[in-house]
Amino acid sequence: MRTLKESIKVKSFNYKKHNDYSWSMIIDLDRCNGCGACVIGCQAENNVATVGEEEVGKKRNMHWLRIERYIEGEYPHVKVRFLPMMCQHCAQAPCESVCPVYATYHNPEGLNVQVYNRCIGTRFCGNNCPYSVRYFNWFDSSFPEPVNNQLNPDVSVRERGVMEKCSLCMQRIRRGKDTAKDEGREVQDGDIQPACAQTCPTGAITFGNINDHESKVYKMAHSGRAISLFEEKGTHPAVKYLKGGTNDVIG
Amino acid sequence: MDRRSFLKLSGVAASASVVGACSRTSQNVISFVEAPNDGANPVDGDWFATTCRECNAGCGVIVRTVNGRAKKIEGNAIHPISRGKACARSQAAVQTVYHPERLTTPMLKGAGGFESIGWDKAVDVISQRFTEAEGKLFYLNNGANDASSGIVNEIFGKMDGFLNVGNSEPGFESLVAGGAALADSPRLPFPDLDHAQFAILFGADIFESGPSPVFWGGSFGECRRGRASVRGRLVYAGSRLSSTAAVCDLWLPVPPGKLGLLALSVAQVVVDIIISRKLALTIPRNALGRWSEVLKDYDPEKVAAQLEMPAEYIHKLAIPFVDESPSVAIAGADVTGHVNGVAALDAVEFLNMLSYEIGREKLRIHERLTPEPNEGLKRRITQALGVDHEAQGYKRMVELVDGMEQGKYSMGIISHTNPVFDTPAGLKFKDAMSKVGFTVAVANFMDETAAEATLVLPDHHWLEGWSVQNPNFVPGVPVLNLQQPVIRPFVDTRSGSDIILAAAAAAKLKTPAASTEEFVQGKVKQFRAEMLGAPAYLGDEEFFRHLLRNGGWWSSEIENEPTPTPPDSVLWEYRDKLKAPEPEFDGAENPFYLHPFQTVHMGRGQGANNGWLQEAPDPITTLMWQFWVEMNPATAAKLGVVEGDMVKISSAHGSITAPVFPYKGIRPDVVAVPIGYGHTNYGKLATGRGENVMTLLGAKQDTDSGAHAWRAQKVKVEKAQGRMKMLRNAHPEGEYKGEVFQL
Amino acid sequence: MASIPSADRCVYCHDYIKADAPEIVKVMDHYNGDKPIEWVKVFDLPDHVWFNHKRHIAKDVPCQKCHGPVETMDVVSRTNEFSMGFCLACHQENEAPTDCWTCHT
Repeated sequence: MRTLKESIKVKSFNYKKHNDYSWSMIIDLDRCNGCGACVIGCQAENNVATVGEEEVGKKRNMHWLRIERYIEGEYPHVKVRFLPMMCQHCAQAPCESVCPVYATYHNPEGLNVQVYNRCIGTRFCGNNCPYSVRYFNWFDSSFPEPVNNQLNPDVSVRERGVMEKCSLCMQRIRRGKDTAKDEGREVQDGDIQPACAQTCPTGAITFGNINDHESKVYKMAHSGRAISLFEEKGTHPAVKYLKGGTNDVIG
Repeated sequence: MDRRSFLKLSGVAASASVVGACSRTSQNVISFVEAPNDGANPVDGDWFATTCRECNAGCGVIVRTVNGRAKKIEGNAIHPISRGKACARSQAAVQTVYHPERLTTPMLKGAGGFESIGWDKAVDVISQRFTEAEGKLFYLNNGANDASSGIVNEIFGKMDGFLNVGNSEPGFESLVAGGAALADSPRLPFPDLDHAQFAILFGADIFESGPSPVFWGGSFGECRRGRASVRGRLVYAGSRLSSTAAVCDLWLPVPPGKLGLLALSVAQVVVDIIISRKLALTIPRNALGRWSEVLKDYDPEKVAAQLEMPAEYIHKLAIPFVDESPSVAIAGADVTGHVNGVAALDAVEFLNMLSYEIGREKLRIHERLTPEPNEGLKRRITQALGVDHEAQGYKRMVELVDGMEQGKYSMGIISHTNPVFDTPAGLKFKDAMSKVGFTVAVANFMDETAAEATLVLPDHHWLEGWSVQNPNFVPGVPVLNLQQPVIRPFVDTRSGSDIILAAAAAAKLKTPAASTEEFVQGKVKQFRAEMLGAPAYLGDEEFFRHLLRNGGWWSSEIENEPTPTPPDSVLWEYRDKLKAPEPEFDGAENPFYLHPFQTVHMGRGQGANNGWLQEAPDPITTLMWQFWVEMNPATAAKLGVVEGDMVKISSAHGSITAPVFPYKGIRPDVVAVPIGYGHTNYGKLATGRGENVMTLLGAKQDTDSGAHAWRAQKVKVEKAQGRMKMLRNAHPEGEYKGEVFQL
Repeated sequence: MASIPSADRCVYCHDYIKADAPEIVKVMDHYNGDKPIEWVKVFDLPDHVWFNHKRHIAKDVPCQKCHGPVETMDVVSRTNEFSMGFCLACHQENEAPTDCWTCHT
């Protein structure tokens, strides 16, 4: 009998072998200034609901992308760091293996996909996610008339009892592939930009196909500054971070 | 005009995928009577270029519309300010255009409060008032040089007693005065952070407050990691570690009001280095000698104690300023917020001038000295659109309030600005406004100022109306931004400037155009001959459409011009400007410095009625939906308070209570309070959320420019009754499951 | 998914062609009165499904394959149930992608 570990290995090997695309996102922590433009960009693109003050108090806010903030040191030698955090699209995702109904699965292009109409809301996946980036719809989304006029028609509005999370803007990936297909070519580097990467004023977020060795993300992922979060857990995220520098002027 | 009935109905594309399974109600599809212009594929929709008007930065944006609805706002990639990016507030504008609380009908204040009147009556009432006012009226806007300001100026500008005032961001006129120090005309200083290797930020919260967080974000990205082999280094000096300071490599907590002193001390070392190393600069050597003589008083050894830092720190700022050229110095709110702001800005500009001399050819654009490709065009565009630099800011607000008190104005138009809320208590704007017989508020939402007005005119949202704008803050190039209606008006609003034009025509006043659209076209035509790179073969109509597709016109020629040295006479006399006057404080007997600050989401309070912006976590505190006061943990301990405890902050002008957020990145003698909270009449989401820090502020002004010294306030802080649960952004499973990523 | 054309599109031709027919008069009434038409949706897609005509038209899939013989219908009615099986059968037959996210967003 094959061990779980072996079967995972075989699975991921196959995926890598047979696909041209493997989507990846690189976030340069040295550039991120915590401005939150990505948070709103994501919300606008993906019909992410607001939950209101009371529900926020119960920690039920739904931002698919949040900016974590760390404060280090003691006054006056204080350093504040920002870390944008969204679904890491792990190649070996802890959330996928616990879903009893296969509502979350790994697609051949390296994305961790949530199928909303399959989800029955056990919340196992959210509990098993080391990054805490899956969000549960405790209520039906609140897009009362006339606010619903803004909703993006490319993305479904999730209802009560469903888990949701960052999809790396799969509707944009699909559109990018669609356009490329219309023009009879492969997707070029830079064709596809998720909403957060598109809007980041400092250019901290880069998205691309890591199987393409000429792509920006490939080069950045091999730049020596690249790290994965919780590497020791063996999740192999598709989202990677570039470490900041610390060459202080004084000290 | 009566398209309202069907515009309210949703288009077809959304209904298939958007309606949730549980809430499916309708199997009907409602089509438009006349199709909106959504491009070839109605499902994909189309993108239209326009200009974001959430603040005055003038970022070019593109808007995706599907089935006649605005869906997504993104930056316009060819625009020199936004450079393809957009901030949180800009993107959240799709929430305000479809906001349930938008004003839908003109309202006149009667005995029993506001009553709806029709648009025709509104025009009648205004036109009658125009006749009666005989030019004794004021127009107050948010500091934007735009079409409505230009229109009002052309109608009333030549009449005696007319005043056009911009209620611009605090510190604006100080920045202009500081920028004038080394230039021939007033302009905003514009350091070239993009190409700098080393930058000192003097209290410049460039990512939070104006003039354009998006532009500065791009510059910072370029500076930090835009070049293969160089990592730009930044140092932030100021009393609070803002989110701008967070990205800097070092934070120096300088006492409030002392940043000018720090700048001069750095300058002293830099000038010394230039002299001792005999650097070959184009500056006359005897000017250097004169400066060195004056700067002797600012030797690091002499001022270190005042700056509360070791003298060697100052050397370690000055040496890379020369060695790691090109370097820049940027001044911001912590400089302009004090009474000695302009003096400090002069010192910062002096540093910049030295840096440009040292880093010659390496830095490209610097607004202070850049020759314009067509001389003065920018200034003439500004003048053509009404509010010139001199017509903006707090000094003019004081003039306006004095005029209102003396009964100089029988009428006032207040457009898209909320001075009752966002001016300091010491100005007493609300009292003065009540002395004006008839005030018109042009607004999208009911707010504190509109509530005080006699007549409220619901304006188009900026996604629905025409305008032309000249941004105050431009990277060295003249810009004429165009704002076009990307969607049809969603509710029964009218363009405020159209109503003014109609009323003026009815009052037999000379009007510049029949409509705002015509005015905008006229301005493009007026400046067309001077627009470099404009295709000559196009007719006026086609040319206008060509510009609409781009989002406006700007010149990009300037970027390759090296910065010239200021004339000798200016350099020679600059000695007199090198001084650091002591700061003064309102309520100086109080123990704490008050540090009001803008957040990325609230702006000056406009963002408060937007659910997305309220729920978006603040970058530093990660608080959502909440108001807070930041203080050093040591200060909190001394006051006997912990996170969430309420404290009372009071000055001679008023008092507020706020929950404490202990934060290590703030001086122990400073308490910081965000601006934009504490609305009393701004819709369900904003009203009653927190308190308004402006009610604590006195009317102290910069001694040179007259700008409001909004950080020159000292306050008392005491423990108050009550506690509040602080809603920090953390995950349901706890603080990220108790683990911190080791970076 | 697709859009229903706006009423003015109908009017372009029907201003001249069969302008007196009772159903056309109804459309004209809507147009002249600035009243949107509430069409009854015949081909309703289930929720959480994203469908784009473009790809299928580019592949020369005939309209009738999904919509049935609409050219013969006076009043359009649904001949195929738009269920997942219906879509998948055709996708598998034509080796079109069957990954979940192809249709579900």
